[in-house]
Amino acid sequence: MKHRLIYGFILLNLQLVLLIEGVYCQKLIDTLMIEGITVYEKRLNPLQGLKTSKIDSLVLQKQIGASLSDLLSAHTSVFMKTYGQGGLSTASFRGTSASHTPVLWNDVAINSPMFSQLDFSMLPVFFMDDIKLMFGGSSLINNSGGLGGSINIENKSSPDKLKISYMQQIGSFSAYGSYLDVGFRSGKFSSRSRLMYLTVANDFSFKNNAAGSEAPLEIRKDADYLQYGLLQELYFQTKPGDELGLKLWFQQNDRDIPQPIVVLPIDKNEQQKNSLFRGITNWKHYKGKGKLEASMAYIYDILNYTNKVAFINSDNHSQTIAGNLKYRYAVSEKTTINAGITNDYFLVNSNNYLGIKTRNQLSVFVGTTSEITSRLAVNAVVRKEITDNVFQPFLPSLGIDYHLLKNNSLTLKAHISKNYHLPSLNDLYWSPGGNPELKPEDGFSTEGGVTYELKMKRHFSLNTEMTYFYTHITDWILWQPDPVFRYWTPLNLKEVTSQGVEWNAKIVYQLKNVIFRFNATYAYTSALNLKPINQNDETTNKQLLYTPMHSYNAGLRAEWKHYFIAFSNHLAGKRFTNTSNTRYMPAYQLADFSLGMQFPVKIHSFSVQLNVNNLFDIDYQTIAWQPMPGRNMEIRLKYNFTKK
Amino acid sequence: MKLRNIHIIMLVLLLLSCSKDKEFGEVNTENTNYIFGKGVFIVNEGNYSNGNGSVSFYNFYTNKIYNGIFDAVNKRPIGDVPVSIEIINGLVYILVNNSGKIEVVNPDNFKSVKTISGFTSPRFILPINNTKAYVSDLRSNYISVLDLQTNTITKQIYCGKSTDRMLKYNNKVFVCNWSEYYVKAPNNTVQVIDCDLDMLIDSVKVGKEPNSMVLDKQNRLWVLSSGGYNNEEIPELNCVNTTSLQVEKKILFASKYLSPVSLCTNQSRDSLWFINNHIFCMCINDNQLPAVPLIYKKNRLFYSMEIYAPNSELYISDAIDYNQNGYVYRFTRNGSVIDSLRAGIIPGYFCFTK
Repeated sequence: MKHRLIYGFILLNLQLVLLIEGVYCQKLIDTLMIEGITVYEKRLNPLQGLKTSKIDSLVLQKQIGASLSDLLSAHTSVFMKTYGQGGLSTASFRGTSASHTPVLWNDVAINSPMFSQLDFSMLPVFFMDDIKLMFGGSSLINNSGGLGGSINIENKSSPDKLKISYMQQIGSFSAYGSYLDVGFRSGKFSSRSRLMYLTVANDFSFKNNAAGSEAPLEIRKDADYLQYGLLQELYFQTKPGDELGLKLWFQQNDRDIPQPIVVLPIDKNEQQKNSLFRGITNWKHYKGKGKLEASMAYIYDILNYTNKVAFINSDNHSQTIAGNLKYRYAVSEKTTINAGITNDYFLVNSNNYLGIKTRNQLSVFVGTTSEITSRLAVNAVVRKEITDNVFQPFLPSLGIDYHLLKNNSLTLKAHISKNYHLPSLNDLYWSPGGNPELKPEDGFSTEGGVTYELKMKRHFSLNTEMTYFYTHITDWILWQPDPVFRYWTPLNLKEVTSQGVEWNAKIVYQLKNVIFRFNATYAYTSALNLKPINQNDETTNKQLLYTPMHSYNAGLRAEWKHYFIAFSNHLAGKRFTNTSNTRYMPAYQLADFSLGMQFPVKIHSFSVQLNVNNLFDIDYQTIAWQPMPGRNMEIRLKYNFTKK
Repeated sequence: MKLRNIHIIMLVLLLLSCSKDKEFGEVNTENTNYIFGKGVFIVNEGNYSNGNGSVSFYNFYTNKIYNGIFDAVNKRPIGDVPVSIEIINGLVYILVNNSGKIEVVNPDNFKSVKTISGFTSPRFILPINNTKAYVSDLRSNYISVLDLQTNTITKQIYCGKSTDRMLKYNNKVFVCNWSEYYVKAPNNTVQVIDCDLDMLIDSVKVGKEPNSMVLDKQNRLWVLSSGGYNNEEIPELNCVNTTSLQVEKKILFASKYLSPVSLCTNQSRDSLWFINNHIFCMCINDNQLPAVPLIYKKNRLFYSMEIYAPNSELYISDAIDYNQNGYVYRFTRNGSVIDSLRAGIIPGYFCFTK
């Protein structure tokens, strides 16, 4: 009986699964190897009614030696505010600030509790098997706080008996990266170890526009960085589908912090060292029509910043203990309900705080996904959180998918939700300036869109989606010099609306044995400040700092046998650099080019890939006075051994 | 076939859209050329390490404010955190703190004449005579002596402390030791330099973090101290005898959670003005602080003040949110508003033409 049900689900879903994933990721995702359980899980996955976007696995492969910052800025509408390669890099999702974008690693939020944001240049794509963007209120199914959306990173056990791969990357500006990936499976047990070491001198030449209109060519100093890390995963299948897992992530990031080019440089003045450990143990268990997931996570993050001239030695230790219990149950073939409870405990010991500071956050949610008719699907979640014994408001979220056509090719989507974001521990406790009286930032968002899918025989398919979103945030936290004390202090000052349109399209076209893939995204974001401080304030209805109105990217890739060639292009629109919008950074457009080939010899394979970044040698700065490199390239050699 | 055409068109579009764009640095839409004349230079500090400081000029005759006048003419940013500006021997000296330099420009057109480097963190310049000037420094424990003929540093005067505002009386130069942030030495003194010998000769203990000084009509030195960056101490107003170097009057503010700045005086040097959230005015004979402000701040953020001696007009800046262009108010000496002018980001220093 159970098997029948499962095979029924296979028939029902295979088409969908193939359409969503198979076409775009056919080489890498083991769709055809799925066991019943995987499909069953898919059935339980409440993604209907939500706006999500998965990073194409071919993009993931192409960018495997890069940081998540580079990947997102080149391939998504998320704007990365970056101080340069390997430098601090934060995300702005739908016009919201860096702290409004939680990053989840296997369902555990890894944003620093101190800053409530994350440095995306320290997240190697090599350690990721799956990256998913959850837009706006869709992020509420996993956690609160994602006023713009969330980024979910996942790791998955590999199905291969033995897999060894080694990759060496050599790039411009003395960039050397070594990546080793070893996985094996023995009966119910499997293991995967990933080891990376990356060192970059990053001494590129740039045009110094601070030195005059002729902008003399200079060499960037003190922008070097070093990253190394290990990701160890262990899985044990207690019975088919059930899995006990352990994931351990160690990483060290050391960097020199270069000065903006308008500043008198002081050699090796600022440095940052970051050591971190993230560990998760989890258990997945299927019983009857239900699935239980339990996990415990521990994170220890040490961040040390030194500034010799200013005698700053900022030493910050933060720890997170997170417990998570989730249960999903298929009431019928069309309806699942889910519920969960999460408790996150944060402890920060920083010489910038007066004493040790902690926060405990308990979160409970219940939700349901239901196909009410064959055309209408609904996703509803209600979340309630308690922060240090303070009850936070209910966070409801409702999403609807409606198939306009019988073949499900044209779908209307709508979503409405309430969300909030707690002040970071720095906002509350930084000394001097921290403000323990801060309220959470409140967000309301709604969106509506349409998706269209077209598949013509075997050689052409098109997926496109257009969404309008609207987000209203009140009590937005802003650091400002205190008029009385003169040091900076955060206040619930701003009221912001961010609205816009997102469009994306993917086309796959096969011409004889050449496959063309084209994808593009465009986002228009109008993120406006609504509240003036005084009569001289000219920031009302002005665009927020460093938030491009237009962002666009497109990629074209052609594959023939074991060869591929890819060309991509992305545009970051004009970004204002002051709140009254009288200063701005001009728009820039960059193009990248990649060429790769693979030589399979039985179970071995060798591959070579050449990436040319900033192909047209464009001079640009993402942030004012932080130069970026011109044309640069990298060569990647990879050996792979797989025994299925 | 049609589809292939679409791809080709798309590819061509992509390639075409990648033309090399010349403009890549920050653009200030408010940079303008200016008309020199009688008026006031305003230094807008900008945000630390953002390179968005600028110089504005308010021309009394055209009754117009010109913003970003250095960048407009010289096609480059003035640098990071310009803090002060003086007109010496017919040239304009702009001290750019976090770029460690002084920009010397011709006042007629604001074209760069020279960039003087060799400082760590210059704050203020004080002409001693026609041939030399002193330059105070935040991050070093020296005052640099500048040769005004060649605009080069000729020597340094050891102070052992960070130096800030300076004031000359006879052959004495009084120097505020404003900061203890970079140079770890007590910042509750005004040092005295003999400007004939270029030598540190004495120091006077005042309140912590002295930020401004004036000389009254009895040639007594008034020093305003804000009490420290972290509000460590109660702010003070000290009156110092310039001959005996004794503190004659010491007036304490109400609480250490105050941060008074911008002590100014008028042409007859019989009254004192300062910012303490609001604007206050007192007589030099008063022994206590005024209870009622001359000008209430309302929801403004008063950042800096200077008095135009000939008519005792008050020039007061409002930094608003420290991020957008600030405003400069003109008030009469009685506190009624005359005008308000939009300057640059964080207007912090005024220099009137002679």
